[in-house]
Amino acid sequence: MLFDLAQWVDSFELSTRLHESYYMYNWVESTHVLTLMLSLGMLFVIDLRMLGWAFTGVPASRIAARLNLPMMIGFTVMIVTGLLLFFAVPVRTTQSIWFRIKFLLLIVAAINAWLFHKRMNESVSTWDHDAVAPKRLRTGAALSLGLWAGIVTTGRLIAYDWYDCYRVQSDLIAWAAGCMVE
Amino acid sequence: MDLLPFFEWAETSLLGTIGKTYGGVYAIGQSLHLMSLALLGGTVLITDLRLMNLLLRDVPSEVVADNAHKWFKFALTVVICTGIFMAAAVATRMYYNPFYWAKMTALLAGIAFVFAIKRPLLKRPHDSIHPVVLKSMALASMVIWFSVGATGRWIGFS
Amino acid sequence: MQDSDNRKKMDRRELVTLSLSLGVVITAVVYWGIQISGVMDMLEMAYG
Repeated sequence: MLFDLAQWVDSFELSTRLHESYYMYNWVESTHVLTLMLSLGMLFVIDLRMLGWAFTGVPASRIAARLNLPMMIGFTVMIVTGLLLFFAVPVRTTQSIWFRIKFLLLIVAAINAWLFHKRMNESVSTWDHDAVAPKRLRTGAALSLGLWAGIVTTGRLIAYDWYDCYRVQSDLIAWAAGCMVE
Repeated sequence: MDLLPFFEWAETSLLGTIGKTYGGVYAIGQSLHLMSLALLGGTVLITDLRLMNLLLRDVPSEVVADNAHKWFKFALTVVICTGIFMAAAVATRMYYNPFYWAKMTALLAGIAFVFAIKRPLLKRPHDSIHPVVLKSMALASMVIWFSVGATGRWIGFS
Repeated sequence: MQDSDNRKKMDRRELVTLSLSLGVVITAVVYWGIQISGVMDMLEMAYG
């Protein structure tokens, strides 16, 4: 089904044109990468505050609330440019094991972020001025840092063809990557 | 002074050989480079947007600048270490790449700007500094570090 | 905080910072302007 979807996306002329446009594709990819400074940059600062490693004298909720808007602007740009990158190279990307792992990590990171916010809003009045957040929230912040490290790494690895379907590889990897071409 | 022999040596050095031989290690170096660039960019943005009165307005700008600077130094160290590792593996190609030299120029300008201009000035109480100076400095700082990132990204495409 | 109006004149360090900052911004605008116009010229030559 995913393969069919990828083939359908690939049939758009705009997909081919974006893929073949050296400057447009690179401009989209550069925007995707450089926006990390806004999205991940803000997220890292929030996580560091929760772990008690930065801004310990500033209420945690204030750091989280003030940095939320620029962070969300950054993530919106990343989603749009990320979708465009997928749109330009759908068939190969769908069958990339790195892309698949990245997608799973993104889902886990989104759930973690949602749980983190929920827990923070429930309890923040009791610890807002503490240098370090409670253990549950620290775990969430550490998990967020780890998950994003994984997302950046797998995102970078999509560019490499070590496990592409055209290469000889184990059945397990071929299955995980969803290889359709034998 | 011709630096080509140095770049040729770097490519054959142990660091260059590791980067060339082990693709996985090289890719992890690239990821660390990107993550530290994200942290560096985040610390630059929160400091400069605060100095421009656009972000964290209810936190004293001295507190923002000092806290962010600690992590800026950490991020800069990782960016430089991973950058040296990445460049060593493809050193000769870097030597002939104009964007590599543009990036190095921007990076050196950025480091000089932060440590010789921005930080010494920000050690003063910020309300004793003319707002026009603070805002121009913040804009220049964001422009420099954006240029470091953008020229760096373009190295890979040229 | 930094928006106090009753200020004295800029001192030497402030003037140096202001001049260098403007220099940085102008240099970057010129550099990126040249890069972008170079790409546009090339695309125009290629596609008309």
